[in-house]
Amino acid sequence: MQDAARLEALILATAGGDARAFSDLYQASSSHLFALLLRMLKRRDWAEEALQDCLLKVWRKSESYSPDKGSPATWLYTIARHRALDMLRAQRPEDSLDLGEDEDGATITLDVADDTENPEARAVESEGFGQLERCMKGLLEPERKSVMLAYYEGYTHPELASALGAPLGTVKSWVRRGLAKLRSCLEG
Amino acid sequence: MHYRNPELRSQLAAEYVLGLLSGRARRRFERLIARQPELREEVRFWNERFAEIPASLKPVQPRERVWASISQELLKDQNKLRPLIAPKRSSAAPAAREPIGLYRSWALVATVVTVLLGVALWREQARTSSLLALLEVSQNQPMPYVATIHFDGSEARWAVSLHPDKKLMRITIAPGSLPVDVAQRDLELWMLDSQGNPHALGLLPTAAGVPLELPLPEMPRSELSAMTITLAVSEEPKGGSPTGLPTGKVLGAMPAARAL
Repeated sequence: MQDAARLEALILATAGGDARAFSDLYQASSSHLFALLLRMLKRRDWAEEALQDCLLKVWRKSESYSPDKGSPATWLYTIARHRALDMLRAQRPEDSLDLGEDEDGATITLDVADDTENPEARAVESEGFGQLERCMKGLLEPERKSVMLAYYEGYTHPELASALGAPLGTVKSWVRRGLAKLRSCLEG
Repeated sequence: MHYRNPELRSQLAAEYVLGLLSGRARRRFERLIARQPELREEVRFWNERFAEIPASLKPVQPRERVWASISQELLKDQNKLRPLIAPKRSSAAPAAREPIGLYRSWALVATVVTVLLGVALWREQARTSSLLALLEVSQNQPMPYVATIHFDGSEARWAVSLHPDKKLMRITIAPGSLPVDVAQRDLELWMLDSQGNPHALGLLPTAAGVPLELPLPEMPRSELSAMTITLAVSEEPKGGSPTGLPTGKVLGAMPAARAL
């Protein structure tokens, strides 16, 4: 997504009822949010529905955004992810688009993907970008999988246990150890 | 309970952000967040870090229809209007009851409408002086139909473009005085098919705002391959025609031509 200062200005203008700013905010964020929604929901029609809901929520609740609570991109991703999790929990997908994604969260490539982002802006926004990715590499495979499945699928501990075919207690300790390793790596 | 152990605090905050805490545990944690700034800070930390996961995905452009639907909702918020999707005409309704003659006569009132065509106009809608010729284009090219709408005796002007390939319609208003009292009435846009039957396209915006993008209702393919189509505007009760057919005065009809 674009640099935080611009996103923040657009969100604040949107909160003031500026429809043009909202339109710009849509232009700036929709392809990024859509990538996440598509990854989570795996069906284009659901992802589109979720994107619409998510942006309308942004339009209607933009005054609830406050810069001191976190970065604007994080705020947008959180709204999108929560909308997708609600949909996933309401009904698990029956038939999915085959997106060629790997099972635990690597990049999906669709032929429509058009990477037009500005690398400079991205570098500014994502100070420390890749830090999490780097730290993830220090996790054991089941620990990493547990974290990614919880993030993308919204699985609870029992659902993780069933998805990974492991006892509940084992899964809980994978999650716990994985998160502890991440924390110490991210701090280091 | 106060989580003095920073590792436990971090652990719970991360599980909370991931959505692993459910039910009572989640609610209890949320009450604690409200009281403990360290916990809030920890939640913020994980929120920011986990946002790196989607940030690593390659962007995917959503289809235009998403913005079209959002715009439609925006209009509801802004003008408190109910945009119309052309209602299906009831097949049970006897054809004989349809006042075909009335629709055919719409062409006659076209002369009272200022009609200007062309892309330059579409781009610079406010300039009335620019008038472009209709250009010959191949029919299978996905060119939009464009028209501007203006009624004698009022100032407001609308630029309308219909994009059959994208199933999308764009409307921009250059505001000014209106031919109806918008507190009482709405302006509804129609497309006439080759039989002269009207199909509802939506309500014209009456206040300045973002260019409106609305879904273009399904039309028979044959109707949207011609070089020009005919649009018409009628005044209707607030929210649009209750029947799916024009019920009020027809304010004008105008051709919309394919533009380059």
